[in-house]
Amino acid sequence: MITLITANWLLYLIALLIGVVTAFWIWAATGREASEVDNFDGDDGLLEKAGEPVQDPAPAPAPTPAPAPAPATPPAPKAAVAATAAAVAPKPAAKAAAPADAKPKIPDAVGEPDNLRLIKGVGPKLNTLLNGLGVTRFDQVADWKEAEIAEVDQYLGTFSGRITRDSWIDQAKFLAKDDIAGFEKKYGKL
Amino acid sequence: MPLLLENLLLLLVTFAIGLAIGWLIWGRDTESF
Repeated sequence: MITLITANWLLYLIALLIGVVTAFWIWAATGREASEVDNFDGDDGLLEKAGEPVQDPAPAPAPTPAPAPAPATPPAPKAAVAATAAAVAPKPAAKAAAPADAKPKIPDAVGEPDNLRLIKGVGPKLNTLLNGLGVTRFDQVADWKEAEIAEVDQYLGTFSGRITRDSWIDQAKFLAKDDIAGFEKKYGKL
Repeated sequence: MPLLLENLLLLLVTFAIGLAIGWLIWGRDTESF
């Protein structure tokens, strides 16, 4: 095996590179196109231009804390069971409340919400996430500086890094000014 | 194992490793937009 590898190392290196290039083609090249198709179906732009801001429905209400677990051992006195139930119950409630309350410290949006999905790279999931964080307008995003970007980025989870990678600020500047021509020239058709 | 088969298998494995590296770099966060 070792002799085979040392004899044909160049061949294996080429196979490795082909693998990397294939992966790039699958996920980086076509993935981006697919996402754009997903994100920008015809209705989006038309609705926005017609003056009807598209906003996701209100997020589902926070899940109610799970009921206290039934006592496993019946012989325990009722008072003791109630005490443990009271001690156990607040924990899930506190856990569920934390992510709902957590919001980035950024300036609030003023005015009607915009359709953030017009920003290339923002899909339905990110749109819902951003709305939940209080980000609803293009001018709000356009005014972000390094500090705000870093602040919001902490709340994006797997989408972390997208703000700079997909140039949200620059895109939002065009969209906030309603400069569709400038936007399309730089980022492609809306 | 015949030499050719072993060679092909190793090529396949290196290709898969390359694919995995590429997925780690570009594929991980493009799955759910």
